[in-house]
Amino acid sequence: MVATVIINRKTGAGPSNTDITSINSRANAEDTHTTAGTANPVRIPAAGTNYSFWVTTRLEATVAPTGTIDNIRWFFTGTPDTGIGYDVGDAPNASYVQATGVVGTSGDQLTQGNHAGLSGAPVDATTFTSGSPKSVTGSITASTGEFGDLVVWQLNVDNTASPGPTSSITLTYRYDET
Amino acid sequence: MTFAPEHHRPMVTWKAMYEDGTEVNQFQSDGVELSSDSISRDHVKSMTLFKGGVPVATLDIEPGQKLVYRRRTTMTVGGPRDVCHILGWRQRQGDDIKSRVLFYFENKDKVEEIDGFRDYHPYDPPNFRKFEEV
Repeated sequence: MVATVIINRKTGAGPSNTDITSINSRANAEDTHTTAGTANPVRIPAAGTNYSFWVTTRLEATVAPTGTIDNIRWFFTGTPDTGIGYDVGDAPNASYVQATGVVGTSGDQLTQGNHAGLSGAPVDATTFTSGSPKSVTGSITASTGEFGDLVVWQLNVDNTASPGPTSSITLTYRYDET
Repeated sequence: MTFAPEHHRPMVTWKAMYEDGTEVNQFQSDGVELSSDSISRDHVKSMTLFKGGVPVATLDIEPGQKLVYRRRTTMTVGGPRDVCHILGWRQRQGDDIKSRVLFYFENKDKVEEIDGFRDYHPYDPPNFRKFEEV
């Protein structure tokens, strides 16, 4: 069967999965999936930088491929608002780390010091375009289940940002199937 | 191999023809689906993509050329799912590897043919299997 693949957002200690394939998901100052929540925005700092709680996503095959899914890619589309930036890293699934920080103010910065599972230092997510996507390790063959490394990204806010919801950005996964 | 009733089948399916005239369909008569990995690269002569039973793209394979096929899916969070079928061949010519690739964009019903893979999405190469190496 041609696979059915969904995108899960992982939150909490468990973690828990939310299928965000067909909906949006906000990066707020909380470790919670929400499509329109405004209760815990990231506070614009007077100086320095505040952060969203990092967002962790992973692919899942809910209908198994007959062959193999591999060559996973991830990329960013959109123009961040003034004072807003995005960083991304990846981690093996076994190295999931729950996002932490001060709810309603700022998440802890996504660094290898704060997220010990990251494979490397996070980089500017906007550098991963459709023309130069991020490679995500992993594959799945003839079975259902999650696959591929975790993609972990975070929104950062400096004092030049404007209040209110940021402009939407688009995150895309791509994979090959035989 | 998996079993898929007709109403669960994808929009676009493939059929491979071997040099002895035999054919291999993605979906067998008993509903069992084969992976494209099962196509014998040493004996395949052509591969055709069908949309709703109508052929939309065919690639002929000459001796020395290795068939490459992938179903490439692009998923945007909260957005549409796009599928592109990659149908191509690779051939070693001296120190070079030549290739010719058809990209059939399922949602646009459009075929693009290029002389080799590119460095950028969606034209970048797949992870080649051992049986696709030349």
